[in-house]
Amino acid sequence: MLEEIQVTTALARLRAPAGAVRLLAFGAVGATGYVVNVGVFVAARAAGAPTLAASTLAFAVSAASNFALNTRWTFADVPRRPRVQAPRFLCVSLVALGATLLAVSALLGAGLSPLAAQICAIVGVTPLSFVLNRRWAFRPAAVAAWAPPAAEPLPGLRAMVVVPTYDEAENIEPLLTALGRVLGPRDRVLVVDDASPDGTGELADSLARKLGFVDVLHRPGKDGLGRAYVDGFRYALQRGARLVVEMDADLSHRPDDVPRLIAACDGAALAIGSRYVAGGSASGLSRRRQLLSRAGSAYARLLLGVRVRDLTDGFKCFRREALEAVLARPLRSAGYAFQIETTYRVARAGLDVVEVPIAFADRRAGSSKMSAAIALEALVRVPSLRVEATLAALRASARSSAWSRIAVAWAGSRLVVLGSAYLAVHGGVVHLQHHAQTGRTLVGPLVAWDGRWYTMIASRGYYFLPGRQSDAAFFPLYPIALRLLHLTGASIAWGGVVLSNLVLLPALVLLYELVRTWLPEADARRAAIYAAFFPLGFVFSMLYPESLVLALVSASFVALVRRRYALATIAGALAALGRPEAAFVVLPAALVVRRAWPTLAPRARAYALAAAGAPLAGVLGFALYQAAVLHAGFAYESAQSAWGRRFGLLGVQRALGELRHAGRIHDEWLWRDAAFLGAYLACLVLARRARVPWPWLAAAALIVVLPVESGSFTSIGRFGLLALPVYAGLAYAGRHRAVDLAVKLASASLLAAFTILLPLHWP
Amino acid sequence: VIRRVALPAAGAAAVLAAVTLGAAGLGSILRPPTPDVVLAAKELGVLDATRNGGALIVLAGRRLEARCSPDGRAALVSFGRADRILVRGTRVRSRWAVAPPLLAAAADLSGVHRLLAAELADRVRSTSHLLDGTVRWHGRRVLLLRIGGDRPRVDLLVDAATLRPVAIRFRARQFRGASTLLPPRLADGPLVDVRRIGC
Repeated sequence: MLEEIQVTTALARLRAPAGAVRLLAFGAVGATGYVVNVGVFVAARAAGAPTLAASTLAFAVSAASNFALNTRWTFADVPRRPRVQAPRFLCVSLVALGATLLAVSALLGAGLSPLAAQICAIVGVTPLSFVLNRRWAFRPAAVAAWAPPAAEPLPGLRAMVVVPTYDEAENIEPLLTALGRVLGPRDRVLVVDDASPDGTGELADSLARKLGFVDVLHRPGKDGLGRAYVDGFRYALQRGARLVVEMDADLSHRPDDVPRLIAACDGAALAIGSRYVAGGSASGLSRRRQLLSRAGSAYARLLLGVRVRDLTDGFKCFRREALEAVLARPLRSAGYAFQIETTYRVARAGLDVVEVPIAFADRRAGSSKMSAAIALEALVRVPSLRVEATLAALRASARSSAWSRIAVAWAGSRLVVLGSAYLAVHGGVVHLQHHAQTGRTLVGPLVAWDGRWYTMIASRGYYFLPGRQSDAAFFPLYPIALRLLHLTGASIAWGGVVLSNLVLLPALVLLYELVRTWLPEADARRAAIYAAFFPLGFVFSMLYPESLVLALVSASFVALVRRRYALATIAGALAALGRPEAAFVVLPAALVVRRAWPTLAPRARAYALAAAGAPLAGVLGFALYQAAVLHAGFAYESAQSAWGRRFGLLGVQRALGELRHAGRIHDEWLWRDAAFLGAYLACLVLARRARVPWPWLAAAALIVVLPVESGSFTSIGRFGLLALPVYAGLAYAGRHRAVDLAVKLASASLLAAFTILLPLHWP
Repeated sequence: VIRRVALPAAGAAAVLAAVTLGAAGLGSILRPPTPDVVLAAKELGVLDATRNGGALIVLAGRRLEARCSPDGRAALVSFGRADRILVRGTRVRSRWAVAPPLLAAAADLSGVHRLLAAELADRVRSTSHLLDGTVRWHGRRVLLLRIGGDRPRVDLLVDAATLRPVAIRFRARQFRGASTLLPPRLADGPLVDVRRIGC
C-alpha cells in the first residue's frame, strides 16, 4: 500500500512543480501570457478593432490562456474547480495588472526607461500574484472546508507535544521513539499529518498503535504549517493538556530539550527554544538560511518591539492560558510567520516569555519546506501584525475617547482653514496682492511662499548659489515626501497639501501622548486641541513641513520615553531632516536617557544614547548630503545668510531696528511675529508653572528666541509652532473654564482671519 | 567604566554614524543638480570675483562704448560724456532719453557683473535649462549661457576655460544688440585703488 502511494506521488511530482520551481513555472506561464497578449492585440488592431477593445480582448485571451496553463501545470496537484478558481484567478490578474501599472508609472517617474520599468514591475508583482493564486484561487477545496474532529478529554494529561508532518516518513519513527524516552507518563504526542504523499500519516498510525502515547490527526491535504499547528493546538486543548509543546518533525529540534522547555514553563507562559541566546546554537544550516533566519528575527523584533532573540524557530512550550490567548482570535499566518504571530500574541497579552537555549541541527533526512512564498508571507505579515495589534489596543484603550475628540478638533480646524482659504481665493482677497504667486485654486494660498521652494526641490532637486537666496536653505525631508508622492502620479501641490493635512491628525495624537508624559490627561487633550486651532495653525495645512515634523518630534520623544529606541532614533533623525528646530529635542532626550541610564543594560544604553543623538545625526546627514552633492557642506548656513539670517552679537538690535521700520517697509506682519514671540514666552512661563521639564522649556525657548538673534522677527510665529511646551502652557491656563473657552474662541477666529489674509503677506 | 560607559558610547557612535549616512543617503531620492546648474554656480563665483571694465556695444544699429565704474553698491555706466546709467541690483536709473527697453538692453550689454549674476541666479531659480551650447568666438571656445527670462533673450558668452564673460547677445522682438566686454583698465599706474576699477 505504501509503495503504491509513493509511485502515485512521484508521477504527480513530475506534473506539478513545487516550491521555488512552482514560482518559476508560474513566471513561465506569465511569459507565455505576455506573448499571447501582444499577439492578440496586434491581430485585433490589424483587424480594425479600436485600441481599447483590442487591449481588453488581448487581456481576456491571455488571462484565459494563463488560467488553462496554470490549472494543468503550475497547480496540477490542486483539484480542478473552474467555477470557483476562474473568477478568483481573474480577480488576482486584475489586482496584478493594477499593481504593475502603478509600479511602472512610479518607476518611469524615477527616471527608468520604459523597458526597464516594465521588467522591474513584472519581477516585483509576479511573486505577489503567485502568492494570491496559491493561497486563494488555487487553494484545495477539501483543505479549505475541512474541520478537525472533536477530541475526547484525557484526565490528568500534563503536556502534549504537537508535531506537524508532511513527507517525514524517514524522521517520524526516530522522533517518536526519542520522545518516548524523555516524556513522562502524563505526557502525549500528537502527530498532525497533512496527507503526506510518502505515507507519514499511515506510519504514524502504526507507531501510535505500537507506542501507546501517540495520537494522530489526519488532515486532507497540505495547507500550511500554521493551520496544521492550530488544528493540533485545538486538539491538545480539547484533550485537556496543561502544557502544549510544538516542535518540528525533522529532528532539527532535539527531543532531549523538551523536558527543559516544559520545566521553563513553570515560571513563564511561553518558553521558546532559542538558537540565538547564550548557550544556544544552530549547526548544519547553510549561511544563506542562517542569514535569512537572523534577518527575519531582527526584522520582526524591530517592527514588533518584542524582546525575543529567536522569533522564527518553532520549538516552544505554551501554558494552557497562553495558548488560549493565542487562539482567542483567528491566526492568519500560514507559513513561518506563524511562529512570529504566536509569540507576538503572547507578548501582547502581557504574559511572560522566556528563552531557553537549544542546540538546533538541520534536518538529516527529507527536504525543507522553506520557499520564497513563505518568506514573502513573513515579510508582509510582520508589519500587518503590528498594525492589527495597535488597532486592537486602540479599540480597547480609554485613550480612544481622547483620540476621537482630537480627531474632531482636527477635522473642525482643517475645515476652518480650508474654508477660509476658499474665501480668500473666491472672496477677492487674492486680487489685492501676490495673486500671480498664489493662483486662483483652493490650494493656491496653501502652496505659496516657502511652498514654492519645496515644490522646486521636489521637482528638480537642490541647487546652491553661493551668496544668493537658494533652496539649500530648506531641509530635505518634506521635498523627499513630495517627490515620492509625485512618483505615484499625484501633483506636488495637491499631494503636499493633502499630506500636510492628513499627517496633522497623527501629529496631534502624538502631541497628546507627549504632553501626557508631562501633565494630566485632560491637559494633554486640551493641548492637542489648542494646537489644532492655533492661530498660525494654517501652516499645518500648507505645503510646509510643520505637521510632518510635529508628528516626528512627538513620536520620537514618546518612543524614547517608552524605551522604543529604534523608533525614537528613526523618528528623531527624520524630524531633524524636516526642520532644524527638531535638533533641540536633544536636550530633553538627553535628560530622559540620563534618568533611565542606571536601569539600562549596556546594549540598551548604546541604543538610548543613539536615540537621544539621532536629531543631530539627521542634521549632520543633511550637511553630508550637501557636501557630497552641492560640494558645500555649509550650504544651508550660507543660503540662510543670503535670506538675511546672520547670527551675531547685535542680532537682537538689528531685529528691533527692523521692527521699528516695519510700517515704512510695508512689512506689518513683523509686528504679528513679535507679538507671537511675546505670547510664546508667556506660554513657556505657564508651562514652567505646570512643571514641564526644564530641558523642554530650554529647547522651546531656543526655538523662539534664537531666530531673533539672527537679526529678524520674521517667521518667528511659524517657528514657534514646533515649540511644543507652548501648547502645554496654554493647556495649563485652560484649566479655568472661562480661559479655555476664550482661548478656543480667540484661536479659531484668528485662525480663520490669518488664513484669509494669508495671500497678503509672509506667513 | 569601559563596560558601563565606553562601550555604550562606542555603540551609540556606531549607530549614529549609520544614521548619519542613512540620512545623507535619503537625499539621493531627490534629483542631483543638473550640469547646467553646477556650471551656473561656478559662473556666479567667477562673476562675483571679477569685474568688467566696459563694453563695445552695437545696439539697434548704433555703436556705443560703455565704461563702467563702481558707485557705492551700484555700478555707474557711462556712454560718452553725458549719457550715464546707474545699475543697482536689477534696477536701472538714468536721465538718458531713450526708451526703457533700450535702456534695459544697454544695461545688460554693458556687462555689469552684479546685474549679470542676478539675472543668471534668476534663471537658475526658474529653469534648469541654462547652457545653449558651445561656439567659436574670435578663435576661442566659448559657452553660451542663457540668463534672465525667456523674453528678451540674453546670452552670456563665457570663456570655456576660465568662465570669464567675454561677450553678450541681446534679442528682443523689436531690436537686437551685442557687446564685447572689456577688461578693467589698469593704465592709471600702480597707486590706483582697485575698488574703483570696473564693476
